[in-house]
Amino acid sequence: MRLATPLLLVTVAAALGASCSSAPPGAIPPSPAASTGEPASAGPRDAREAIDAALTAEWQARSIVPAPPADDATWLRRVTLDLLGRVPSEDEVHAFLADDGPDRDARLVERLLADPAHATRLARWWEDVLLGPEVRRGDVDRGALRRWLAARFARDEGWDSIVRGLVTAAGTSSAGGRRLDRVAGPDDQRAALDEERDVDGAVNWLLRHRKSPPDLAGAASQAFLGVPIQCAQCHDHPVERWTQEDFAGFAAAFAQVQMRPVDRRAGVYLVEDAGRTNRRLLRDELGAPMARAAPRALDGTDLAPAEGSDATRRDRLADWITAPANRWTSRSFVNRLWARHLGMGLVDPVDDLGERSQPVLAPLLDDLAARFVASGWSVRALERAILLSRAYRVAAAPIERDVQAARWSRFASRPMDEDALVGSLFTVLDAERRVERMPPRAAAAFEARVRSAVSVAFDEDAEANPTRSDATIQQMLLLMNADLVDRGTTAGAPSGVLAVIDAREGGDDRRIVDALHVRVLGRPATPADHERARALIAASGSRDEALEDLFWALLNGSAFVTVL
Amino acid sequence: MSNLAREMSMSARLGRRSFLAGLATLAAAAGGGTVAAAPPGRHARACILLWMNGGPSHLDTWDPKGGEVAGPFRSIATRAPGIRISELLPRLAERADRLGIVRGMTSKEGSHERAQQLVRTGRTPSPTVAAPALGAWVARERGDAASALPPYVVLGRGGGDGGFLGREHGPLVVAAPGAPPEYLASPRALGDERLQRREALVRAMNDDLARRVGQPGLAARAVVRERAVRLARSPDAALFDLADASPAELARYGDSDVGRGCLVARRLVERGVPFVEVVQDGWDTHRDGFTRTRALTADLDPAMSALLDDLAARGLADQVVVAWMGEFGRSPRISSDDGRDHHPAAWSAVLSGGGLRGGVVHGETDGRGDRVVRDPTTVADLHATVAAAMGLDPALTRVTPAGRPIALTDGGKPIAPLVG
Repeated sequence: MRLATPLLLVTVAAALGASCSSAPPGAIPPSPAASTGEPASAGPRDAREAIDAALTAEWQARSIVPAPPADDATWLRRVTLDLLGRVPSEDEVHAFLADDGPDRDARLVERLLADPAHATRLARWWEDVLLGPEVRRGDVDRGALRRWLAARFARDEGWDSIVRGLVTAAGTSSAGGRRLDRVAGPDDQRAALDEERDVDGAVNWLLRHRKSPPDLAGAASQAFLGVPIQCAQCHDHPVERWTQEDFAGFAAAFAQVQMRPVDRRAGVYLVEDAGRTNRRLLRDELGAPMARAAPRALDGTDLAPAEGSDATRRDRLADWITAPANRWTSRSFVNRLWARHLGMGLVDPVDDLGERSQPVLAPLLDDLAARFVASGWSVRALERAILLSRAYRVAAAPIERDVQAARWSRFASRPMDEDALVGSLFTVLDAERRVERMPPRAAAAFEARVRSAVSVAFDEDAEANPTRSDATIQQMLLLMNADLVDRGTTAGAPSGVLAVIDAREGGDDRRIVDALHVRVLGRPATPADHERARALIAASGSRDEALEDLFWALLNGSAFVTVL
Repeated sequence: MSNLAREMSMSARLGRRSFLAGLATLAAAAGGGTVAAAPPGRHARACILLWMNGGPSHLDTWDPKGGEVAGPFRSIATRAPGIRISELLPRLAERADRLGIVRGMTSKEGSHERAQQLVRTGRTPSPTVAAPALGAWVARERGDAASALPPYVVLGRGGGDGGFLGREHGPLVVAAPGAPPEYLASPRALGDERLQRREALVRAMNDDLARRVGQPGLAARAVVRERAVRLARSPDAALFDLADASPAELARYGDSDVGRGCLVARRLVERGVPFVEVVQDGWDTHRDGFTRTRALTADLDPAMSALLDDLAARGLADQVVVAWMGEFGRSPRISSDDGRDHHPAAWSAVLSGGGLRGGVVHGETDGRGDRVVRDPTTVADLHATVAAAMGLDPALTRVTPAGRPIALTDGGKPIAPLVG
């Protein structure tokens, strides 16, 4: 298992060293100053303009010359990978490059945001944040959590509502743990089944910590607030002001959660609030403090439900977390999404918005957080702003100094994540067609096998820093020798990709070379590419073998797996 | 204290070989980016880390107690006079004269993720330092660039990563020990010439990309790809595959994950791999702990014993440090589910070989195994001991891309009674 926190280069905050709180040592730090939830009255009309204005000012102030905008093909590939988790198809590339209608980019973004594959991609992201990639237990049904999330992302349900649903999740779980479920499943079919059986997918993130309830508090704090308080579980935080008491008080919000087996063998549990402290905690060395403490939020707010009210401690915690004035929550999400698309968060790493971390461009983070809240915590609106911003449009040019100093003036190229690699391989190798001809169970199993192979080959790190290469020997070997790649690139298969392209392009080598580049890299071949291909064909014994080699090499080159 | 002064004082404790090692690494550190020159003198050239995933109960292994915390297992005498360990490890008891049992391990991380980070990297997880795993440090400092085998291998699901040292120092993870790494061979026989044409094409494309985009990470990818290609082509890749192992050998180690892992690890270090981690999963025994611990030790005992025996028989005992540990210990208090919960305050680790003293216990816990009462040892100290045995300066520093110097251990001091 690996720590969810991405391990990273020294942040600006660490270099600066100063803490910004004035609270006396040992006291709970004051909540970040309450925000009215209103965007700045003067200045940028919308969030995208706010981003562009802030970065332009920053670049000017530091005499940074931003890279030129990326060309259309590059931008299309980038945004399709980011939103749908796959490369664009040949048709999609041609259609976009030929589109000279107004607001072309905005229209594309809108289409991709509304695509069901986008909702699934967001769901996979948060599935990994909440469950970690390594959890494969019988009592945790990853698929159910993913479907629960995807349904909400698909209708752009407010992030505050989603967090509330997770924090207060209660109900019966479904049997989980099968490897297949980690990776695939015709999700819409399973979603219907979930509803039928009255299954609550959200309880699965609680079940992950069933054996160690104190971990729940730390997980919630890190995921939703960006405050890694769990290190205060065993000792006063070495750097921040969190004490063990603070941790116990926060964890106490979860001390009344009961997870009772309904069917232990199948791994089905009932998660509910017992109305009294879970006695098992008192016997656990690390659980006892949280069982005895009075529930208290990170800023000291009392989380005990009022006398006679129906609310549970978790309801009160959810109230506190999703309050518009709670800037931890809004800033944390904004920062995570920013990092996801732009390579490095305004606060780095993404799950440590503690006192000592000083965000670069703090006013921008605060502004975006306020707009996020004002929009009804709309994830889609925030995505729109980031993806249409100038920072997301710049080219991936060389970075002279370290990534931080570049201040998003060039796009931070990064390897595709596991999800995107599977999606892209499926797209490039036309595996979708193969899958369509299979019965649903076989199709799901096939996809699961591919995902499983890729996931083994990937270094399992839930919050991998995007600017770090995820190259591992296993991943390289997979792309070199996996059956899927070998069979997908062969000229021999009559309905294989090469045969189809060959027939479509009338056997014209130059057009075939272009088509392969568009298919794999999202752009036509350059003169240098054509020259290399020509030399290869000349040196090979057979033209078919040369095209196979070219196709294979395109998949094995860094450009394929890199989001440029 | 100046670097040189620290070196001198360390040399007084460790003796001549490490003094020379210290000078060499000091020189290398001053040089900034070079691999530490292999120091003259005797030192271990490899480490096999036996990683007990989930946090092994110290009471039911190396630090047995009587009374209500004991559980169903008793203690037995060992070959080392005065040292008793759990009855679950009879073969290792026979070999206790080769073991340094550290009973005073103590740490402050009680959650799996953080504790695993701590014990693998030797540093409290911190958002500001991408700490490399110990294996990555060893890979960087002792890796042989000419070898087709990667210098840091993990057998089973586990391992750390290269941290700020770079992705290229991360491990090759073979999820199923005893089987070869997946995808070593092309499904079709393509012939050398064609394979070389393919690789040349990939290299040319990557060079093109590097010229246009030139960002960090792309260079690391190129290094890792070269490694993959070399491994795929090398006859040494067969070392991972136990299909050719004799049934007798397999029987000695046991046909379990940890058994097969130990056998492959032995083969790899014989061939020069400097760091191999063997993972035994399942030690997070909150429920049904005693049944599970019995099963785990039934596999561990023969595997680790066979490994120690073979290393000794092949004259490798001094050259290979075998280190046994997990992310924390387990509570003396037995839970209502018949298990034990996480317990970082006191736990055990074991070091063997590499010139370290055996038949020794260092550190002591109270009558219940709750707290360390004598000679507490930190993870940094444990790492420092392994490093020193390998001729690496525990204070060896490398500089992060942002310009910050980070040392191999976080102020760790080698355990004197073990290195003495």
